[in-house]
Amino acid sequence: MTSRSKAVLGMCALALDLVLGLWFWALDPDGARRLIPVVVVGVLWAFAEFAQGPADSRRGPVVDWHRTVFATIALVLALRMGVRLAVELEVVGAGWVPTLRRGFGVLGGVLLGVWGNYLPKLLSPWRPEEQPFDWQGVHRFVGWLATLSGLGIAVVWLTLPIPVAGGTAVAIMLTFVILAFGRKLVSLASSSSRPPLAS
Amino acid sequence: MTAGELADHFDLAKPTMSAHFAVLREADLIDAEKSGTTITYRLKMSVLEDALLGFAETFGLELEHGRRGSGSRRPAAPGTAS
Repeated sequence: MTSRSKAVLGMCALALDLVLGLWFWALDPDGARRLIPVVVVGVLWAFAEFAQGPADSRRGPVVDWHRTVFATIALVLALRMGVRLAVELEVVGAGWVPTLRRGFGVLGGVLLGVWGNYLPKLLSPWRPEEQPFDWQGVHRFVGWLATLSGLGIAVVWLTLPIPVAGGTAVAIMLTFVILAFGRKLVSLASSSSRPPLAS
Repeated sequence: MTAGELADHFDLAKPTMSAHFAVLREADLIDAEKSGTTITYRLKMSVLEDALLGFAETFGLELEHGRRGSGSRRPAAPGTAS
């Protein structure tokens, strides 16, 4: 699949998310919160498209990777909202809700693990002498962290009671995000205090 | 790391090193970038590949230690080759 096809697929999936979110809102005034993940994914994708390295040929694989990731997230989001809508419209029985919640929790963990596994394979879009921070080192660290967090979340959703699993999974995710951003900030701080590389 | 810096870590002829680099590139475990006469190599391993290498290295070290009483050498730590 070409990079352009991935972008089109991702945009179609996001549009579907938006339609489903608006449908929820029409059914229930509190349903507007379903639109929050759609907006967050859209903003993050736009950031990844326009703020990942210099505008040259080295940036292509990074943009292509983000298109794959965001198209996948948008598709999973659409699937999740579609299932919830089916429950809301009583097409699917309420008895299935715990199983479906558990299933989506495990799927989320597995996808985070797969994303983390591939992350260190991504090469920096900057030339070695132009690196704004230790790009490769940060991605390796975040990749390991995401893989372990994803596995942890999948195991938590498979083994713990649902209310406990939900809270634990959020705690793992928050810890992952804080450590990942912390690692990047440390790298940025140490890069700015280091003299520039001699070329 | 550049090809020269990597070669300094091993008692091997440069053509032998090049052959090893070619195998690693074919396996998509490293990336090579040519700039003038210098080739810079970067590690390109997934978490799973990295974990398997660490696992194999641990057992490899033990086997080698059992046979010859010495450790193996790794060209660069993950994330530091650039």
